[in-house]
Amino acid sequence: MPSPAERAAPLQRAPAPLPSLCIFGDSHIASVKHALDRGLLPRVTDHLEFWGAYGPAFRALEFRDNTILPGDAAAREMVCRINGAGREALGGGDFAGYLFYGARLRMADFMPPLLETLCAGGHLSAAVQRKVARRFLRGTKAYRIACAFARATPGLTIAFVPAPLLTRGVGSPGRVYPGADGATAEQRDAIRGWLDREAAQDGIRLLHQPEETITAGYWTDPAWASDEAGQEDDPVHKNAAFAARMVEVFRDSLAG
Amino acid sequence: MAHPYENLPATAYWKTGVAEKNPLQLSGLWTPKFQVPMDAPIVTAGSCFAQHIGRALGARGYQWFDAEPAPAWLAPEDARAYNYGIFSFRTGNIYTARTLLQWLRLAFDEMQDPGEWWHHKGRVYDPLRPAIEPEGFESETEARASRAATLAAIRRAVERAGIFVFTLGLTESWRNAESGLEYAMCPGTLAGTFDPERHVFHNHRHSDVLADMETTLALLKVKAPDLKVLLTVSPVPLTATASGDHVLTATSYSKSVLRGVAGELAQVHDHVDYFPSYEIITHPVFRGMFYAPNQRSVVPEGVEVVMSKFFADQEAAFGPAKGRRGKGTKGGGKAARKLRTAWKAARGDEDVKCEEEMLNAFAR
Repeated sequence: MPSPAERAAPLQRAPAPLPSLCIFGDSHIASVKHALDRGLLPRVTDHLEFWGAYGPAFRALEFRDNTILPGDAAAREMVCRINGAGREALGGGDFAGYLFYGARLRMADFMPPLLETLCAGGHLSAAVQRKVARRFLRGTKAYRIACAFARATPGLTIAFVPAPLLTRGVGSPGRVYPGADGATAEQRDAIRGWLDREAAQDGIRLLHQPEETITAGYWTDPAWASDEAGQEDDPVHKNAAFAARMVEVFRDSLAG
Repeated sequence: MAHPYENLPATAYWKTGVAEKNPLQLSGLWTPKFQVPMDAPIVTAGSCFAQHIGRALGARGYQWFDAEPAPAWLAPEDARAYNYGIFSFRTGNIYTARTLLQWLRLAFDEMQDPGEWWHHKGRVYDPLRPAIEPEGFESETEARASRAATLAAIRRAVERAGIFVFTLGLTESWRNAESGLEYAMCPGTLAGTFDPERHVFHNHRHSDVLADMETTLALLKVKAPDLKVLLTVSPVPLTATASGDHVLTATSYSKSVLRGVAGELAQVHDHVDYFPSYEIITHPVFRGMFYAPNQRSVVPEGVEVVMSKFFADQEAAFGPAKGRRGKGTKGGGKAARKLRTAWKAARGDEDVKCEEEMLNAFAR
């Protein structure tokens, strides 16, 4: 059965599904699972597995010999529960494609302060753009793992969905950036471009949250807020529809 | 019959003010005309030595105003390499009164962009700040956009600042013979290509510097009527001279002119003061103790003495510094902590950034 997006765009030829795909990440992958369970995901693979952990267990994941391993018993128990297929370790060659989802690469930390700089008339030279983008990307363990996967297996499909911007009006965000209230799509696109150029050099395709999910400069529109019980005040996580939208973006990226 | 030299304070007589004192115990060298409040945004610009003043103010919790801060996610060492947090805006060192005036005129649209850019190995350099990007800019478009951001920062700084600290550094300069644009450095040293037909040497006279500074002050008065200006003269000798004179006498000329102009401006304008960091470092009574063995660089102890006298003389005139620190929030709470973090990030290995040092590369 086609997803809502597939129904909405029947003329667009869908790319061939990947033989296998692993969606790796932290607590954000829960929304993807919800989307899967509700039949919202477009078909992107013949074999889908989830692998990851949340909270301290995610930090406990270790990376050795091109393989991600749980670093302690709690993490082991968690990855097994999330994976559900008995995969205790995740090797870089286990799947035809990997979609890193969230995984602590937080766009809410990167984009808003830089939007403030641009909104204030600031300018970053290309050299400085490269440095800030590289520091953000390479400072995240999951991104370094994605890079290692890409290096170890040339031609592997690796995409990374950074954790989205915080949801406007939901909960209490730790920090606000009033100077970025008026940020434009063009400015956001410029910042995404800095990241994309760096990621491309690492063989990683970054998949950004679409403009239609963004509001008021640097927030996710509350329409995409998590609707799971207990997450009413959660500005970080998003709903299943958002996850489905991001997997559509992934699918479109497979089409080139 | 009584005369004016009777009953003067001890500081008015050489014997009691200097000769009988340990030089490190000299006091009252400065009677400030106005207070530098801890909560007033302070802008710093000028030659290498101005960096010391900015750092010391920032370290003490004063509101050093960074109008062009390093972008988020730029590592501290990169921020320094790209000249963020060195002065209040990314101009690099401003050595002469004319170049300060040029920057201000460009910022406030009182001067047309001369459109001159230097090219070297496919990179583009800004003749007003050739060292601002270590590898130069990718294109003229990028260089122009970057300069526009700096000009906006200058406008912001002037309009929001309470105190503008400017350290006069040099009288010697190089200009474009046709446009009159004064460069930050001699073309061909840091960047650019020297062309004797196009690039002319100019050693500013006292009248030149005074006129440029008067124009600068008039411009500042229009844009920021309440702004106070604190002048200092860099005690750092010339790295090299193109005047034909010996570098020692060329240094004397340059510094004498600048010191004279600074003193004159402070005499004439109520909102302008002169702080004698130059004398504290250079005067024979200090026996050169604040210079490194090269007799040029100022050692950290010298900077410390200069700044401790700055704060002591401020306190003597106006009482203990009041501001955020005085309220018991050491260093002034979150904003001041952020400032100090920015300072720590920017100051790196504590060396000042001095483009003029590049001339040493040409010394025989």
